[in-house]
Amino acid sequence: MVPFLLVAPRVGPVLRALLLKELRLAVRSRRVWWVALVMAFLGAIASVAGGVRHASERALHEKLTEYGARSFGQQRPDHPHSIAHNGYVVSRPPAPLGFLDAGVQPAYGRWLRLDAHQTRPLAGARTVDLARGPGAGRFDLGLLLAVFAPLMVVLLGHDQIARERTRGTWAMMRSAGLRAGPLTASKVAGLFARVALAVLLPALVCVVLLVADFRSFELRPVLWFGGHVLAMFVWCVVVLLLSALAPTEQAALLFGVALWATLALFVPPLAGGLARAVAPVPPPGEAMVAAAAWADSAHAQTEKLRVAALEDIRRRHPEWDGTGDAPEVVDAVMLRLADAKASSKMLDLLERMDREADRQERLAASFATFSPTGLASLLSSGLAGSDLPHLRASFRHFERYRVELMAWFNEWWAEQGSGGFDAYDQTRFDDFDDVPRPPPFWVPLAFAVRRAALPAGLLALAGGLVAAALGWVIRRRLG
Amino acid sequence: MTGPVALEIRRALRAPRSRWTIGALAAATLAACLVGGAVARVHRRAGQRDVQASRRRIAASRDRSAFELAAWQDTLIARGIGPLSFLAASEMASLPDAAVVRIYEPPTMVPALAERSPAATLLGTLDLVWVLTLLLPLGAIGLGYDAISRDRAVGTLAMMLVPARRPGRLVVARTVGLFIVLLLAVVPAALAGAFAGSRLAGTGIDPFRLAILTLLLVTWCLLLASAVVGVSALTDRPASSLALAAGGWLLLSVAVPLAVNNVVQLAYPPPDPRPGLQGEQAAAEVFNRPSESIVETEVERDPRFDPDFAADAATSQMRYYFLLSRERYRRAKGARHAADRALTRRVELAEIASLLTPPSVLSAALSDLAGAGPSERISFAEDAEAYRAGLERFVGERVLADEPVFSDANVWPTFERSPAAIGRRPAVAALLFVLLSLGCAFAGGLRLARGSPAPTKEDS
Repeated sequence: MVPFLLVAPRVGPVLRALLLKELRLAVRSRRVWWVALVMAFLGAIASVAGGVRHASERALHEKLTEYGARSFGQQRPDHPHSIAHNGYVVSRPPAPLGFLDAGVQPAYGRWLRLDAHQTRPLAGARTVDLARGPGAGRFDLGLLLAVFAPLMVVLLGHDQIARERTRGTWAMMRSAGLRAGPLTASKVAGLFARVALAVLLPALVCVVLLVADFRSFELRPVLWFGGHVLAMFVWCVVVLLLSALAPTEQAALLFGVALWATLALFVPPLAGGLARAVAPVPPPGEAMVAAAAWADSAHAQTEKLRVAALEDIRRRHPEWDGTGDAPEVVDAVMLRLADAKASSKMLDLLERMDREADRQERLAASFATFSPTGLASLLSSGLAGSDLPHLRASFRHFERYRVELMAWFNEWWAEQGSGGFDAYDQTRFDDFDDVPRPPPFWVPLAFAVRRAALPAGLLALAGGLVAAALGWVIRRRLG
Repeated sequence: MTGPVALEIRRALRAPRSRWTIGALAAATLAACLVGGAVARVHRRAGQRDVQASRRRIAASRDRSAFELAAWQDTLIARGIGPLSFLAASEMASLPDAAVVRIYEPPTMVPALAERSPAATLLGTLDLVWVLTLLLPLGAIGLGYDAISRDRAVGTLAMMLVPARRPGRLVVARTVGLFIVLLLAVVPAALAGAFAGSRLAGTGIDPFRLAILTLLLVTWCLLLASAVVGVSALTDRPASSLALAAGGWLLLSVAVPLAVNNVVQLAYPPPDPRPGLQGEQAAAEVFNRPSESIVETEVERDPRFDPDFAADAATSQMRYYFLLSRERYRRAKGARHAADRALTRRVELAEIASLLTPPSVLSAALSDLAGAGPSERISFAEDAEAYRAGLERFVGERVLADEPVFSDANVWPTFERSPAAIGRRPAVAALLFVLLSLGCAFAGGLRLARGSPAPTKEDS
């Protein structure tokens, strides 16, 4: 809206003059430079903390990936079924922009040894590192911009309108016949210019340095930073509205800090707590017991399963008349059928657990929509690829591979094996050249954009509504 | 002395700012207790459901021996929650609600709530500790940042000091006024919330713990009041006192705890998991590739379990695997040694670091009171290990008795935990808060006694 107003024939000149005045004041303001200094200091700390953690996670991922491939290929001679049990050590790569916003990564597991018949959770979550406070103890640029930068916006903008009234310049503007539209636009643009100088510029420098360090030259960091710019814009109009409503500068500052404390420190944890209490996720042990029971059933050689296995062999080998040696190892076919059934049950259970977790997340997100900080956190972690759906996608990726690996072993054993574990005492696993290896995990940017679309839309909507309210209040004040 | 104090209390209670703040803080305190209680209940139920699922499976097993149930099946035990656990519901999300016990390896913690549903981790969980350490200081600053600096700025400080006779009295009177407002805002709501939160969580009320909670609340309010009034006395203008107090809050409540957490993470990074993975593989091989030498060594240590003395082939095999399970346990424990040691060091350092700022001291004291401090993780692991040892003895007796099938699920060992004893930390924290309060009041009084009560030239 502001660029259109700047070139409009009637309001353009006044608006440009007011905007220039605001920009001149912003550059000259000592407060702006102090805030820029503090922001640069905090941004540097956040960049180092986020960068060091991300680098160590990436190094560990590379080590584990190499270890997984090596240890899988260098196993002692053993029965294919035992090897399938030993499985493959897989590692989840860190989020694409984990150095900017670690999101929920610290609470999510990183690696696991896949077991043929069992779904195992990812191990290596650092829940011991989770601490009380915003971001659960992590400190990176995402947290700095979403939670603490709004306080700087309050410090920069609380007196933008309130001071005009206490110093009497508001009456001068009213008597000069200034219209509400240009004044609103100039105030918004003026505060946003201050915020751009003091908050966004230091943050942008940190982002550019980190992106260059991790060679993440793509569209994702641009979108990520754009999301935070949008959140800062919303905070600018919110602070200006407070400044317009408050009777004095001091009251505006108090209201601003109180509002920030409420929206950044009270609403998000209230949303998180309510979501946990109202929509609890199923207990993990219960699921583990169910999974173990199904895994046991994969080894249970019942007569019913044997009949089903023989029928399956007849279906696959119509030339076999059911007499003499079967063309496939019956035990292996039984295992394959039981595994398929157990996998199907397990996938259903996972779907159900994911639905419960989604319900909790949706509830938390819907409460968080009342706070620009909550929305900015969701947007930031979504675009950084460090939110729950991204991490869950990595687990699903490994689970699909587990099923594929298990099916491959069962198939191989059924078709080429001769049964009996002793037969494989001397067979090296290196012989299995065709065994599927885990494909690298990768989630496209479109997935992240879809995740971030709702918080971004809500932020834009909130910004528009508050800006309209600000215009209305200024019109009323101008009389 | 009582005159100025009564006057300040009346003035503080009549101010619209105080009334609004009392209402807002009381509502936040009550909401925090209720949310904390509801979250604590979720954790208690999650643990109970895990245990029930495990015991149902034991009861449903018809043809398995005690050894098979203890070795090839998971026995789940619940961590449980203690009285006043609603105080620190946020910490509970990162603690396991249950542990998996198999006799051949140290207990394994089930994934904590934060791992299973980290969405809420991003937002945090509101509880009383959150309100007391993050929001209450802001409320105190909003109420008292201009308690003395405003009088100095408008030139009325000298007039106030004349009837007070000693400058310290003014500081004390203003501190008491603010203290009463904070007390009214927090303590009644917290006590009402404690009853409601405990009821929601399904834990009883422990009067002794409740008394300690009240003591901590009172001393914390006193410290906040004296610190804010002290800062106001030390500065010349309300804007300076607001900036100083808000900066102090940001530093002590947010920046230092965050920085300390990051420093601790850097000091004790997660150990390389590869040796652990290799060790677990080596432990698994004890069963996958049984070795006669291991069995012989174990028989030498405990001849009662010699497989040759078994009643039949099935029970002989049970004795054989029971002896192997002991070696497997030792190897599994060795595989986890590095991770366990790193965790212990990490917890010790976190506990030491919690002494750095008053908000983190309060947070640690209340977490101790709630039984959700950093050491709870280690304490539960120790209790679970004691249970595993007991389960091994229980199974060992049945193996020696050559019992082929375990039939009575009711006699399967149960896991009980009593609430941890309250350490010295809450008492030390309360004493520290009182001493710091005295220090702040003294500093403020000294500034008024030594400095000029006149406004700055610019304010004049």
